[in-house]
Parts: sequence; structure tokens; C-alpha cells
Amino acid sequence: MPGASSARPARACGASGVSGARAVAAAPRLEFAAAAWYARGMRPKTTVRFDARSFADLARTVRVRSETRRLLESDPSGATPLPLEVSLQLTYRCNLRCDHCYQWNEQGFFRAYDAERQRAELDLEIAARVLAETEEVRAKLFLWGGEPLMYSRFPELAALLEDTPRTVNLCTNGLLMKERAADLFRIGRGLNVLVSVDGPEEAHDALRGRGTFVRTAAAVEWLLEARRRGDFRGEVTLLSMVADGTAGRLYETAEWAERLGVSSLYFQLPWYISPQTAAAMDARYAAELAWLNPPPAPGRATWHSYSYRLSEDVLPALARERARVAARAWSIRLRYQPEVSDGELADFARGTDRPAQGKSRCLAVSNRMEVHADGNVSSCKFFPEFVVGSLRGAPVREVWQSARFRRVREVVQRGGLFPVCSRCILLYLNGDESRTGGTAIAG
Amino acid sequence: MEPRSLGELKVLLAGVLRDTDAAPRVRDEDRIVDDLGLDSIQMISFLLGVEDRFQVALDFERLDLAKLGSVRDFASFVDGVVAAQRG
Repeated sequence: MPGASSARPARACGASGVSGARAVAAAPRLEFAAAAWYARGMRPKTTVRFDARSFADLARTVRVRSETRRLLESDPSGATPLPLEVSLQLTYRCNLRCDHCYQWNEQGFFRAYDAERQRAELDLEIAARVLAETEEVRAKLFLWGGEPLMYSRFPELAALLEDTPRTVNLCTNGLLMKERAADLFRIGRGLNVLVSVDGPEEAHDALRGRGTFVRTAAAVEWLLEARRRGDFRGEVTLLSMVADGTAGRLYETAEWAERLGVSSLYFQLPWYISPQTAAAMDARYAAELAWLNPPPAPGRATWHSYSYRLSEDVLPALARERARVAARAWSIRLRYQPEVSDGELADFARGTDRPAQGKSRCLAVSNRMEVHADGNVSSCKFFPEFVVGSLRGAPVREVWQSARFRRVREVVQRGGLFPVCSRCILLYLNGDESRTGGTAIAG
Repeated sequence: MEPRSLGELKVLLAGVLRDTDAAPRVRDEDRIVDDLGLDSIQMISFLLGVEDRFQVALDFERLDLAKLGSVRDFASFVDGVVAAQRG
């Protein structure tokens, strides 16, 4: 059975890159790009071109990075005055138990939470305050969970978002989309719904549970139809896990996504953290961050839950499939998350601490705030060990500019990336490359 | 008169397309989006590269697609930014 691996979690719902409206143009003049960059990097080609809306979204992304880089030159522990991106984890609960999920599979760290915490949801008052306090910068939002559509206050949150429109990325397994139709429609054109579809039916079902593909695919088609009718004004993106059962079927998945007419398809590589990298992180945390929270016992920290990995023997098939996908242009945006070159692929799959793409600095820690379902704020999205404060009773700006948060920034900017940072998608979407005289411009 | 930044912008564009040897093949009249086909990741790299190379801060609030016409048009725009910020 494809994907029925005994290996474990890699990912709950991730972050996304630039969302985009679609404007399909004639195939571009790509003689040199096709000949060199795509051939080397296996970067899929797209015929989708920027339009005013998608370019405005991109310009904002660049502005956030640019401002952050500039301020870090003078103050390594600094941050933008307010977070320009905010991630709201609406709930820990999920209606699936996926093989590859680092939250809820057999080794998932949510299982260690007590029953009361597992049921906790983000206080609506906190969500409302975050929106109000970041309104002046129109902070971009990322909604996730668990399964964010299980959030019992989702209708009220959607109403708040309707009143303070902004770019909103929502990561979901899609199973509750129809039940949340009115809420998704009212959020408006800034919403990008990212739905997890892990390859063809049998591969998806092997990872996510029998019968889930049919239900999720129907929900995606329904949302696209609502978009064509004009009821839903946002974007629809698919997130697809590269797993043992899907590694040789990327082309098939891309064809299906293209036929559906989604905006984008992101192939997500497992965020596997090897035991060696996790142990190195244990040591780094104990040495430099013990003041922040008590260091977990060796082997107990959440980074040890990221143990789902691609088997070595599927890597050749994956490389061939990437070449096949790269050999033609697509009418949707197609990406790998992260974008690793062929030379970096095996290294990434093996869970080492070496970042791909020459990434050497995290900007997210200085421009993005992570709010957990219990109201805690952490500097790093994926690891609750990095909690620096709480929004229960404290304003956003106070926590964002707190001494504890500043000290974490200083540790990571002065001491260098942590071993687990190489696995973090935010390093690739909101990080910086090594620069030499301003001439290195890696993608 | 040729914009001063034109040559360096062509090198930058070739760089984000990962083929520096192709720099001479980026033509002045190529439209950055429609002809060269920069995607979002390449565009981010390109715009940050412009800031690095010319030591300027682009006004991203006002940067729209109209300014990203041809390579030559954009070079004229960059020349203006450089003149305003660096004298």
C-alpha cells in the first residue's frame, strides 16, 4: 500500500508562500531559464503571470523582508514595531489522525497534553485583540490548528476578519468546508484556503485515513465551484505531502490539480528531524535557552516528534519525478516547500542540520508572531519550548517587544541558526541567504 | 541615453534565473514579468537584490506592476530611486 509506512510525522498544516491571483498568459520567452535554471534546480515552470493583486501581495512580502533585514543590521535583537505577520493556532483538536502528523500521530506531542489542554481553543477575545492591535500594519494572518475549521468560534472570527480585511492563509484538511461555507465566503478576497491533499486517492487515504480523499476532493471542487459562481472570492491552494507513496506520483497529482483549476500546488517535503539533529538541539537549548523555559529531558522535546521521513529508496524515483514535472509548463503555480535543489534533496530528506538554499538567518523571529491555542506566544512556530509570554492580559506590543522575546532573537541572531531551523519552512519563506557584497541572490 | 543601472540589472535578472552566462541575452526591451517570466520567488530575490546592489530602499507600498515593464523602463525607475536616495 503506497504511503503505508511505519515512519512517523513530518508536518501538520504548514505556512504558505505568496498567494496569488491568476492571470494566465502566453508561454514566456524562457530559452535560457529552461535551459539552465530549471534543468539544474528542477523548479517547475508556470504560465501564471502576476496581476495587480498578486503583485501587491508579493510586494508586501518583499517589504516585510526588506524592513526586517534593515533593522537587524543595527539591532540583532530587534523586531518590527508590531508583528507584520501573525499565526493564530485556533485549536489543538483535529478530526484526523494522519500518519505523518507531528501533532497527533502516535508520537505526536499533542498526545502528551492533558485532556483539558487538548480541548483548549484560542480565546476569541485574544483573537479580536490581535486583529485590533495589528490593524495599523494589517498584519498578514495564518490560521491553523489542529484543524482550524473545528474552532467553535470560527463564525465570530470570520465576522471580525470581514470587518478588518487582510491577507489570510487558512490551512485545513477540508472536511468541514461546506459546514463553514458562510464563514469562508464572508472573509472575502484576501482569503487563501490551503487544503491538504496528499497525492492520488490510495496514497492520500493511506496517510490520512480511508475515505478521506473522496471527501476532501469533493470539498475542493465545491469551493472552486463557489469561486466560479462568485460566492467565494479567495484563492484555493493544494498542499501535498511528498511521502513514500506519493514521491513517484507528483506529475499525476499536478495534472489533477491543474485540471481542477486551483491557484497553486505546493509539494511539501517532510520536515524530518534526525535523532542526531534533535539531540544537538537538546544540547543547544540546554546551553543557551535554559533561562527561557526548563530544558526538557533529553529526547522529550517536541522536535523529537518530527520523525516522519522519506525512505532512502524512494529518493531516485523522487528525483526522476521532479525532472518530469520540471519538463513542462503548468497553468497553475507549482512549488516545492522548501525549494531544494537536486543536490540538497537527499540531505534534506535525511534530516540534517544543514539549511538548504544557503539560508543563514531567520527573519520570521523579528517580524512574525506565533500565537498558540492556549494564548501563549512563541518565537518559533513549531516548538512550544520557545514560549516567551502570553496574550492573556498582555497587549501584543508588550509581548512582542518584551525582554524575553528580544533575548531569544539575540541568541538566534548572534549564535546562529538552531539545528532544527534547517527543517523549518519559515526559514525558507521568511529567511535570508548569506550575502557577499550584496551580490548573492539565491531564490 | 542608457540608464546607468541597466547593465547591473541585467546581471541581477540573469542571476535570479540562475544562468549568469545569459546576462547578455536579457534584452533591454524584455518585459520583466511577461517576457522573462519571473515567478514570485525569483521576483522576491530580484527586488531584494536591487536593494542590495544599489544600496537603496525601494518603496514597496508604491511599487506596482506598471513600474516593472521592460528592463529598460525599470532601470530608469531605479536610476531615479538611486538619485533621490544617494544624491
